[in-house]
Amino acid sequence: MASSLLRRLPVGPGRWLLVLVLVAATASGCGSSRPYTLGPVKTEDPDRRPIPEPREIEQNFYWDRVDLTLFHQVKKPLNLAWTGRKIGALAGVTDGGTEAVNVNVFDEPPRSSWWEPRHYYRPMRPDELTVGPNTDGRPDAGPDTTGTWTIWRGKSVGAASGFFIEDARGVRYLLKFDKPAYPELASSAEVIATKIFHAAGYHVPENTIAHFHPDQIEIGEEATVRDGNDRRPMRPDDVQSVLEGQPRRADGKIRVMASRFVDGQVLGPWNFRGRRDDDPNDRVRHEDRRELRGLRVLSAWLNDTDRRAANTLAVYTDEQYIKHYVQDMSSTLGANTGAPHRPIHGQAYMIDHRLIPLALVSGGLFPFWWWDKDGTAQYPSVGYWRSDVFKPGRWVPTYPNPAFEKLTRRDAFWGAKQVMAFSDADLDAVVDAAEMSNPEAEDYLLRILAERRDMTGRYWFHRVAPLDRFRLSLTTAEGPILRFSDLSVDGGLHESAGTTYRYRVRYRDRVIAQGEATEPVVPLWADSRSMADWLDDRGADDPNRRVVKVEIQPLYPCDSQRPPPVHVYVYLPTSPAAPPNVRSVFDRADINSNAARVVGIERQ
Amino acid sequence: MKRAPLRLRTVSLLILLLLVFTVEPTVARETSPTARDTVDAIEGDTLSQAQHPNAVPYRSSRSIWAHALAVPAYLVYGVTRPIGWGVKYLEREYPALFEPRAPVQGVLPLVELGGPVGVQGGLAVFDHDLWGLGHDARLSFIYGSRSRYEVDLDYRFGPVFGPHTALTVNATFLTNPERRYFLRGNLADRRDETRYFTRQLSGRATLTLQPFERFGGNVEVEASRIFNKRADGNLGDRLPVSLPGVDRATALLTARTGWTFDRTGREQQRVVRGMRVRLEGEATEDLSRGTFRYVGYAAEIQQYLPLPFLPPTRRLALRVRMEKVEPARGGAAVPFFRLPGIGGQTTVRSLVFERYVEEGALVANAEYQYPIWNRMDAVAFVDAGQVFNEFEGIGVDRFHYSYGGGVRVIRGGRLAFRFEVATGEEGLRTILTVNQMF
Repeated sequence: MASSLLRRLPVGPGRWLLVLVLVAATASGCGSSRPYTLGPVKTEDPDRRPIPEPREIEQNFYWDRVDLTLFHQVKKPLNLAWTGRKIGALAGVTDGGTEAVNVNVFDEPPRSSWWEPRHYYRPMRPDELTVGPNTDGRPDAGPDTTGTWTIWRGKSVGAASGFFIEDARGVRYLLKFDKPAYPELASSAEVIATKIFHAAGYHVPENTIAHFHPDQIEIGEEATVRDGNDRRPMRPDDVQSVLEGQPRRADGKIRVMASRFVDGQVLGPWNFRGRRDDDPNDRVRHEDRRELRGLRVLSAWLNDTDRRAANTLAVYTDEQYIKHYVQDMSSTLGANTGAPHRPIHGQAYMIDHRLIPLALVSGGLFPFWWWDKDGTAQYPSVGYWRSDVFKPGRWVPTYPNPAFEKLTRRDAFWGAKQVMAFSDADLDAVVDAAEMSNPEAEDYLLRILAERRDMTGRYWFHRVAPLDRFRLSLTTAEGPILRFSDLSVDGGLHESAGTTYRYRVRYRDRVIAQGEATEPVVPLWADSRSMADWLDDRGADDPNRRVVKVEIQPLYPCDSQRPPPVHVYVYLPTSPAAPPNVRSVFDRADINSNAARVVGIERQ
Repeated sequence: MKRAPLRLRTVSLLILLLLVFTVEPTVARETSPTARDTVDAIEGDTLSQAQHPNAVPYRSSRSIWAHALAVPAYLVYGVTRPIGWGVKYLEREYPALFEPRAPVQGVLPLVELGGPVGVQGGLAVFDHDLWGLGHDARLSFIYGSRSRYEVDLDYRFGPVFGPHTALTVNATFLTNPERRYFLRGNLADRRDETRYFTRQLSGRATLTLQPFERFGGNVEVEASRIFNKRADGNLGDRLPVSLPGVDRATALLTARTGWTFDRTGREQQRVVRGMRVRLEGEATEDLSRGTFRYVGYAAEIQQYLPLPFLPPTRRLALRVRMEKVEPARGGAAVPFFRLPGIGGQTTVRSLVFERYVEEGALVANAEYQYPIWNRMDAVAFVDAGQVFNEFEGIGVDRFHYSYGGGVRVIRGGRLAFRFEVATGEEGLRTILTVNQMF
């Protein structure tokens, strides 16, 4: 049989190419489990168990760039599974990518040492957004500005100038200064991005704006600064060279971005690929984590171009597990550390392995679309920050990021819903934390932030149906009703008037109900009976036979592009208990197993 | 091509099918719904049905088959890790090497393909602020073999005669036991190849002047002592001893000047439009016997033309250069090693260095240059060149042609290096150099 099958395949190299595609396609598509669970939903990943003290990993700035730009790109096609998937995608057999590993039946990543559900799942008040990660609960938390700040080390890595201080309370901070030509630029960007990343669920350091008088600064006895290849004791002129040209307020104080040292033992950066071999909790390859892939969408929104391993932090906590932080947001919004972003930032990698070959074979026809853009910063404190050049699907950081490279539409949808969770008022509260002195500049920054947010939502919500927060209500009069939120309508991207939802309910592959709803509500009725009764009539006793699949596709007025339907699995037990009344799936770790409820979602 | 027997193909297919169905835990663990949180799906082999899913970690793992498919990638990974360790070591121990600004002092590796002596490598030591006076010194050593190497010392004093001047002194010592020389000028074929040994020591002082933004030049005096003799072997025996300059040490004193009028314009750090004209002249005196008293002159025109309907960085670069030497003031001849020639990195690129040599040389180059990245250009080119003794000897049918393509990297508006592949009547040549074409 096999030989006759082989004879039917095309002759020559195409035969083996086809087989490779089949291998990869099948490999990508294998899986036998049901896309729902009748048990409790997984909301936590137990990756915070105590582990022996891991080793410190050295931070490097340059090898990572070379490796990811060159060798990693060579390595990818040499992995035949990757190549097979890509060929399969070209042939229309596979989707070309692999999905994130750490997602539950609601397509959500669990709480972990990497991420925890915040603003999207439990909307934060504007004042909570402003406070962000600050542990003392104050929006203006930062170093104690009443006492002496003792420098204990000069900053020797990273592009921004600054030093490490200990305030009068003994709390340690990294101080980062704006470049005098661009006052408030990097410090504002860093604080705003910190608050946003925090609200999106990531672990971030407490970054705040502080003002101090130069007389407050003292050089510690042990403080050193790098001079060429060596370190030497810090001198007053080293401090002076950093403070020189810094704008001062009327009271002589200087603005600075203060980043509080995180609690625990710093182990160096974590990587966007692979796993730590000395962390038994680290079981999922980082490039396959939903929260790291989805971070690309947030990074694109904020033009967080320097999102790479060097700007992350692994910390061995007092509870003896590794907590993963994202840090150094000074290359976000319009800032590229101290200076404004350049037009290429976000448009292409610095050395782009995808575009250079295209430009080479184009014979001069390749359009370098960022060359014609005026890189002048409209406001020095905002930098190069635009929405008209923003392409959410094409955005890339400065150097390839292995997790970002593996972004799928499902990952992107997850990222986009985190982005769209920020209302205009939320953004206003976040930007307030940056304490910008020019209201016009602040308004401009805010406007672009909102425009880029909407562009992000519009782009990804076209590709994956933006329906979420599925919940069931059950009343005697109305029977079971599936309700959900349309994130596109909620985010103001589409009008609710005119928007309809085409639905089809399937039971064991048979369509038992269908229709079109004008509200995000699907009544679960079949043959003029409640679907639970309908199931009772068929004597469906096995719990798995009491699950129906609801396919819902949103249809927006004046929009020919229709996202594919989302599939929702609803469990309707015999004599059901009331559906769980919870805000999000993260409150559903324990539920009454006899409750009628949504038990799984499949996004296409 | 002979086809594999049916049995072999059947076994191959079965193995592949086996791969298909066993590869699931490999990539599939990362990709498929098995990773979802149905209780029986997570860690299905070890999980107790009563266990809460929150107690079970997610995990990605790869099967033996996934590893097998990734073997070539692992090889690349393994080979490149030592490079990474080296870079990380340098970054840790010598962080100043990675400063974004160019270092004042340092050591640079040198690699050259397609130059006068083929493949060479070496080192350059430089100090851009010697003695703290802003003087620029560079000592380079380039090595081809034990008896073929070149040592070069450049010392630039800076603006000693005013703000728009610079004085540079240079000393070079080179030795090459097998330098090529082709007989019969423009008609030379492979059988006309001869080889000679050369050892040259020269010292040069150059005053560079830039009186106007678009007009500048230099005046140079060079003293050199050159010893040539037949190389060992058959090719060496073919070199006629009657050639002026063979089997003797020659001391020459040369005065040289060259002036450039530059009307070119730049965009995106590239010359994209306009014209550049350069005129050169030299007079040489033989300090040892008075035989080689000669003059030389050259004219060169470069024209950059942006292509219509495309952005100006897509441009044609054209060059014509003619040079000529001839005995003067009672001189008997021009030494054979100072005759103009074509071939090498900057004339007709598919030809070896000085493939054709006579008293005059005419070269024409046309390049289509277009950007392939911010600081990278691709180039497609056609070269044509011929050598002649008298201007009357120039003929359309006497040109030697070359064509090819390459990539150039630009840094700070200047060429950082270029890689080119050229082909023509004598085959393929590869060029990797930091020298400007024109």
